[in-house]
Amino acid sequence: MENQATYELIEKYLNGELSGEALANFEKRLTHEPDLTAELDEIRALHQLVELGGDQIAQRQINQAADLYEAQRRVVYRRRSVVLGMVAILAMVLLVFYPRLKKLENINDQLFAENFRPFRAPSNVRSDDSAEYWEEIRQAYETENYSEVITQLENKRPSSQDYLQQFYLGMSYLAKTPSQPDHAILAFEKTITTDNDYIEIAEWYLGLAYLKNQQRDKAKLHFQQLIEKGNTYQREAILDLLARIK
Amino acid sequence: MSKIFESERLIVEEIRNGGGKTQVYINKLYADHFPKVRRFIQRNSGSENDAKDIFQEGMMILYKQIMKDKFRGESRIGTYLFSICRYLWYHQLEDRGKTRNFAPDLSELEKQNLIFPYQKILQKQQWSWIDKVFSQLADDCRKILLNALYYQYSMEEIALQMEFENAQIARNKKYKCLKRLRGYLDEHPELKSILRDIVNNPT
Repeated sequence: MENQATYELIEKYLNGELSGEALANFEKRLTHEPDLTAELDEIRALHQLVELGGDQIAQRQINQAADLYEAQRRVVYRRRSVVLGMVAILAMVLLVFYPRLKKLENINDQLFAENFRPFRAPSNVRSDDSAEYWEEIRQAYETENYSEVITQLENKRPSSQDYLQQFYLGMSYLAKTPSQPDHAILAFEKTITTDNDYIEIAEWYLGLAYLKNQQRDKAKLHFQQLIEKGNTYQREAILDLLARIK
Repeated sequence: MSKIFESERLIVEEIRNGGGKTQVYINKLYADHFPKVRRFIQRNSGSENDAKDIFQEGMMILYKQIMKDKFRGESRIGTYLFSICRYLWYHQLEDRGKTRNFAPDLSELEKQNLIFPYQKILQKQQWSWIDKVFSQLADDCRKILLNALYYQYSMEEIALQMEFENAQIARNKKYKCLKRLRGYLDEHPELKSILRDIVNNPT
């Protein structure tokens, strides 16, 4: 590079900053001075090279963005694959086991339907001051308005005859359509916690409630325990059920 | 710049000023707009790798337009970037002798007055030659040359940025650095010849 003044003149020419007489003089020199023309080419090439250097910085930043994007995409794909894999496994499990579970459910329901008969209505003769109340429950129970029986019994304040309240609550939950065997189980379990005349009966219905609630193993165990205890209520039916619950 | 593009003004300014968040915004531009370009190229006879190459080239063009203060936000960045990529892919298919079922649609590019000659992107090997030359320069030399010739800052701005006493000192420094670059190339005529080829014919 000859000198800074020549360089700056050439740079002005390249940037289009020369005009009028200055431009004309420079172009005239170019036609007569091959060294100046060569210098112009050199500087033009150097400028272009610096520009490529700038491009390279940009290219690095863009490459970095591309790498980051791909890395994030891989993470998303990996997570998606894991979720899809789990869904596929779940679907296969359901495909294999659902018909079997459904079949078992049908058998449980069938055994329940064959054995379940709502226990007779509560007696209308009561010694305490709740006779009128129990009469209403009796009527609702006899007319199979089990939802009404449940409403009345759920709102009843505790009394000395709680076991009776719990027994008919369990019975109503089991008899209503659709039945709510889980609620019935709770009520029957409460019924048998105190000493009363309904224990054996409640135990029988508790077993049926387990069956209806698709707790087949628990029902089987419960009925076996009733036989071992020597329960007499519905003994034949229990033995028959045990033979049929495989 | 129109009000609806206000949210993009920050991105353009940050890239233009080479601020600390430049990489963050470039990452965001990539993540926001690459999927659309990829879909377009894959639906028009291209592969995922074609899409990556074209998009990176498109990003490069946008970056340069921003740097040279030529992108003034008359279009949304995404719309403009997509137009560039479609234009590039149109020519790429032409080079490959493949049928094109779409038009280059230059309306967005014309809106910006940014019709540029179609040019292929540099190859990795070519970049490595350029890298070799620039790595010989001291940091301050690289910076002043890039600021003056690539980012096109004025000498007054450069003096301020690089803490020179005045613009004339910056001018002297720039001259010395360019002379140093030229001296290095003169000492390595083979490299100089390769770079001359790259500058004159990047493909």
